Amino acid sequence: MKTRKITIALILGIMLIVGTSCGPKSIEPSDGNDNSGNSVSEEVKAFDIVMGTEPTTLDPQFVTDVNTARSIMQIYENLVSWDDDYNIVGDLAESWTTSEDGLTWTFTLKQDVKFHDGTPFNAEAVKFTYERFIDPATASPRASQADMIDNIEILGEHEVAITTKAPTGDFLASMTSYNFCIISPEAVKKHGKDYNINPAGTGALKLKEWNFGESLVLEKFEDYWGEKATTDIVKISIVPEDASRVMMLQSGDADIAAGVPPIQMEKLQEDPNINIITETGYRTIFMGMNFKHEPFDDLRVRQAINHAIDKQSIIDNILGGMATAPVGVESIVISNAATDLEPYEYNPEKAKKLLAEAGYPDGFKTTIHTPEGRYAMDRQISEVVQAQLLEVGIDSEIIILDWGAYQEATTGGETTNLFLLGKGSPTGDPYMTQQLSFTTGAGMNNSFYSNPTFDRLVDKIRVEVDQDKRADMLYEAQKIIHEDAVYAVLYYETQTMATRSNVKGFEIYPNEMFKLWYLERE
Amino acid sequence: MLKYITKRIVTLIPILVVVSLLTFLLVHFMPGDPARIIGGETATQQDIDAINKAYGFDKPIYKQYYNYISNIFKGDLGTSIKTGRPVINDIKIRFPNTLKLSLSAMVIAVVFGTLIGIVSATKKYSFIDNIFMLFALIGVSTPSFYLGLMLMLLFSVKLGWVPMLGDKGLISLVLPAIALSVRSLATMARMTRSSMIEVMSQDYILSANAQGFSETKVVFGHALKNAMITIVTIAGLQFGYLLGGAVVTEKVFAYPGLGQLTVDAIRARDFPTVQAGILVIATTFVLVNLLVDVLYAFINPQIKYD
Repeated sequence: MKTRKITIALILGIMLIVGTSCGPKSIEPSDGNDNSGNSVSEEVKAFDIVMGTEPTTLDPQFVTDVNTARSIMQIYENLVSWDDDYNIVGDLAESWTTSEDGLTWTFTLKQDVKFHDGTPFNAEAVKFTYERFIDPATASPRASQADMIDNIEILGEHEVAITTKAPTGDFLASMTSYNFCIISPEAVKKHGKDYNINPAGTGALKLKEWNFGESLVLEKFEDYWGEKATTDIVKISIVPEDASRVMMLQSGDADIAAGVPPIQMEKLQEDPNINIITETGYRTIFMGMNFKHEPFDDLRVRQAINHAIDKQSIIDNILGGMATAPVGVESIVISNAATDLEPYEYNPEKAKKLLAEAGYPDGFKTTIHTPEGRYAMDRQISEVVQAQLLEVGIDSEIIILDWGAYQEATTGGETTNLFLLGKGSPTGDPYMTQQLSFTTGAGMNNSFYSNPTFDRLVDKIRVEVDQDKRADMLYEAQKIIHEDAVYAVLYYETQTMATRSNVKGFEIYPNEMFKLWYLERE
Repeated sequence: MLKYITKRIVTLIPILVVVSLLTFLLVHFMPGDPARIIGGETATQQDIDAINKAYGFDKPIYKQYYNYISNIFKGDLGTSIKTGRPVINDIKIRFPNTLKLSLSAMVIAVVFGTLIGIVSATKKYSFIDNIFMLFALIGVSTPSFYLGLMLMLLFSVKLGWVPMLGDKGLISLVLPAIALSVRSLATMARMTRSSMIEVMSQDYILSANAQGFSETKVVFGHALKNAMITIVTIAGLQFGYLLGGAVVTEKVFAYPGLGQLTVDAIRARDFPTVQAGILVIATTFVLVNLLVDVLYAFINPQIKYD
């Protein structure tokens, strides 16, 4: 009798918990309705976007990851940027000229441009921004990117001349990087070390509030110099779990989800309330090979590995078709990428023949290092590569490390043989990553590749300002790397994002950035 | 009693010093260069050297520890390597969130776990006992990650009862608290059942029954009181698990807690944040165990500390 009472109390307790968890039923998404905490009226256009990681800072000179860069690019602008046809066009710069010796770039700046703190954008602001970037006291982790700058001279209120130490072929491309965004000198002087949470750029959106660990709220900047934002408020919420982001989109709690994993795509494609947006990106995913360890110093072995991997199968079966089949090392959407190189076709027989010629008729044992969770389906892709290599006699053991340890392993090169990695393009021009990845002793050269011919070519490219000559030399450099089979390039990443189908104006770009300025709800 | 509590709080200091030293050493000797993680893929050696200098990584390890520990005594938990913000600011936001979530999960686990355990013990080997213990087994075996996603799918996506984004008030706490509580609830249920069965086989219970006391009085007045020592001990240990183990639940529900902060900091080799996170969790755990020990004296007057 008494235990029955206890049981009834238990059931009532559960009902109480469930009952109190009932909030109002979420409103079916429709015109002007918003399921976030923001109050919405017909006039206020508020949007919710969910992203996987929180921006680390809103100071462009301290940005080292793409996710933070995405937030930066909503509130800042550069002197120049890329257009859709891979040409560099003026942003805050109206026009520019180059001196005959290729050393001095003189920019005429746009007028009547304001920072978010109301102060004017001018030559003084450009000089301040870049000098702060280079200054050792700032301790920017990306300061070396501005190493080429020798001097900045103010020629007038809206005219500034930047002199480089040597002719620099990718000078303008470098200036498009998010680290080169223009910041308000007054805001930096006012906030000092706290500038990173009190940013002032010139973009069409500005920071309204930052709830650390939860969300960033951006609002329309009424004094924007260009086409004013149609977005009044956008809330960027941090939702680390992929599946949770997708569910929030499906329930209407979010309008836009950044970074939808390939495994979820099929389900979303069937949902009439969801619009999928894909774009071939700058990022190349590849299997690197450590030249310090035999037999990866043998070209035939590297070629064999390229022929042994069925890249299309990986794209179709692991990534749900959401990737682009590779050509060379640089993604085809990067300016001056060599897009007509002969890809290494899947041919296990050819692979076995090449291995036999190299002295490995029965294959060999090796290891594949892989991260997990760093890139979409990274571990699974490494496992597929492991299986495909086994078909031609290469027996490999998979080694999974957390990202910090993984970076140490790949840069040290003591233990790695094959390793899965990705590479992007911070400047949208191949020079930077060709130099960093393949010149002898360079910072990203985890293959420990060393080719004096290539090194000399890269040195020539650095100082060539004639863009046509530069383009030819860049092609040559990429051809060398491709023919040397330094990497087994697997695919170019496709960026996958999704929006509610009534949300328009969301644009994504190959460099993994997107714009939230001109969102509309139908 | 007061003397005992004071003594225990004083011993907290050497415990935390040891914890801080162990954490510092572990974090600094983990493979992975924080300068390279901060600098990103395209960092040059020049960038790496500048970062090492700016953050003091180029100093000898004992000097880095000394600076760290002397700042702690001044109340300065350091600056996050990842964000450049004082660590204390993030801890002030995240720790109360984790505490709220863990306490809510604890209340659910203790109340329902104990009740289920009591019912199971009094109805030993019955159908209801078997059902409850089956649910306990499922609860212990189900990953909180999976449970969290299923709860979200049902209550937020399908039924629309609980919003997933926006106001982080009481409603936002319910699903993550339930997801987090299940394993502890199942453990509490099983331990309560075992403890109650053992107690109820004692002679004094037989004696109480013989004296004609009602079942409620026997169960709650006598048996439960004697079983409480075990139950409270388990609850204290479970709370420690909940504090540190909320990471997965926090991730699934995008709940900004200390667990997620600490794990992200470990990945980024953000030493100051890792150390602060672990110190805060260790302190809370030690204080909870002190509370458990103090509760013993109230549950069982025969236990004296002075």
